[in-house]
Amino acid sequence: MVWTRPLRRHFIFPVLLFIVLSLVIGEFYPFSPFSMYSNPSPEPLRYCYLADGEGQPLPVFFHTGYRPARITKQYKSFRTEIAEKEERRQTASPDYQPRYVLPDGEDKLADTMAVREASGLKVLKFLRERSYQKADYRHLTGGLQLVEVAISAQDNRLVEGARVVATLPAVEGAPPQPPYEFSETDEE
Amino acid sequence: MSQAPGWKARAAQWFREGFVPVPAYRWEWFFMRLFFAVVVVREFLKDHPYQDTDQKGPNGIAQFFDLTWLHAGWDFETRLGNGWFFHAFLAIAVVCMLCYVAGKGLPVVLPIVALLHTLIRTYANSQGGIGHSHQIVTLGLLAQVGVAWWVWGWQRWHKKPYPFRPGIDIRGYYIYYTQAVVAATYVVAGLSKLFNSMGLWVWNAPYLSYDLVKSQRQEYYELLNPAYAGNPFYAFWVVEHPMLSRMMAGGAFFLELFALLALKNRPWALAIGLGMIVLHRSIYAVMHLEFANNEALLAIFLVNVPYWLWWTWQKVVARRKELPLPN
Repeated sequence: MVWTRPLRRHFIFPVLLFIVLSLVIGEFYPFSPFSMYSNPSPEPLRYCYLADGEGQPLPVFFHTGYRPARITKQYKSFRTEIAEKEERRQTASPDYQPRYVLPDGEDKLADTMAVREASGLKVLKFLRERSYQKADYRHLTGGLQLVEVAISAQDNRLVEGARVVATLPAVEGAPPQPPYEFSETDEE
Repeated sequence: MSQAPGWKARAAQWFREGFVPVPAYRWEWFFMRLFFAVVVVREFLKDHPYQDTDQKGPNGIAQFFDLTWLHAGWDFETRLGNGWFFHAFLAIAVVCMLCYVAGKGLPVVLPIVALLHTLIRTYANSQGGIGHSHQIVTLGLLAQVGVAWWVWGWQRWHKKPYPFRPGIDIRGYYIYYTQAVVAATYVVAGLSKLFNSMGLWVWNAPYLSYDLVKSQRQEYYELLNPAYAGNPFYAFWVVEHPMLSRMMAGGAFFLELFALLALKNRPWALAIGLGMIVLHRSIYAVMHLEFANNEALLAIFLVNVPYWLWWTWQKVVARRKELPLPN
């Protein structure tokens, strides 16, 4: 067939098609634009970690089997989802006013503390529920905090600023959480 | 007096020759199948994709189909007794990969394994965060499915043997397109960097120092391992030496962008494969990000150690034959 001649003459043609499709389709397993670290920027880079009610870090993998990178991605994904829902709700309201830049520079709904708190709470509840699938001593029954850290550079120096975005109270009647000590076997 | 062709003519000839499959030995293709089968079966030994109870952020086909049935019967405490999908998929994958290594029924066994792998990794990627360390295995399987079905379908349609290039048979095509899809993922990553940064990726590379700090912190917060409690000195070095950092990042960037050169011939595949593995090892050293599947497929299909061991041996034997015998 005539249309197969380029395919047989130029073996690389399907590969080029795959490259274009990957960039166009986006994240659709197994297709991906593999856009990790594709836009380094002077904007602060944020990540999250789990802490107890007193602000002391908790070993999230020990309690849930989830790594901090996953939690950060989940938090970001929930922020987008909640912001979009809120945006739809607001624009549907007869009293809707277009948004303006807030004094602290937050001009996107996803960046507001309200959305951050709602997303953070969703992440904390998910992690607590996930911990219940583990043995009793790993359950996250105490108070929890989700801490968001922003990394940036000032005067050729790296600086980090942390803030608590969400808090989940302890489960009523639950015994206090035993203190954790790192063990290499916990990595398995 | 004839003149040797100039560099432009040589370059044009180099491109005109194209990027085509090379002849492959049976034993070479066997080793590739064997090692790739190990990688694939290892994927099915991972049980955590089955542990999630729902799909909070559906990705891929999970946007159209509910895949929560993969969790059915799962019990966290008694893994061996329940969660029969984990055991069923593992058993099917092992049987299929045995057939694959034996070279039997590839048009049937490859799509089965590709489908099962797609299901479990799609489900794993539908929990609100997307990982990128397993796509290459599915893509490698799908590339080989494509070759198997294309040749089989062509032969059924035309009712005659497929017109392979002289000296090449289907194994050359399998290897070529698996190499191609492996290399293409890096080209896609390079192009994403080019487009998302509006061409400024290399210039902005020093800001990757933020990611270096983030990786260290995330390692620490995983299990509060004191080994990761301090500051990563290399992140601070990057911020303090921006031009040097740009030169190093530029090397990696162009290696990704031109990864398809691996399809030119065996030496190019070896060079690109080794370069990519060094890149992955460097990334692991500073960012603790492991892409074991990527490194495995690069080693199997691009570096191709069995071939180069055989090639070296052939050179040694040929050299010995040329040398005069000692008195």
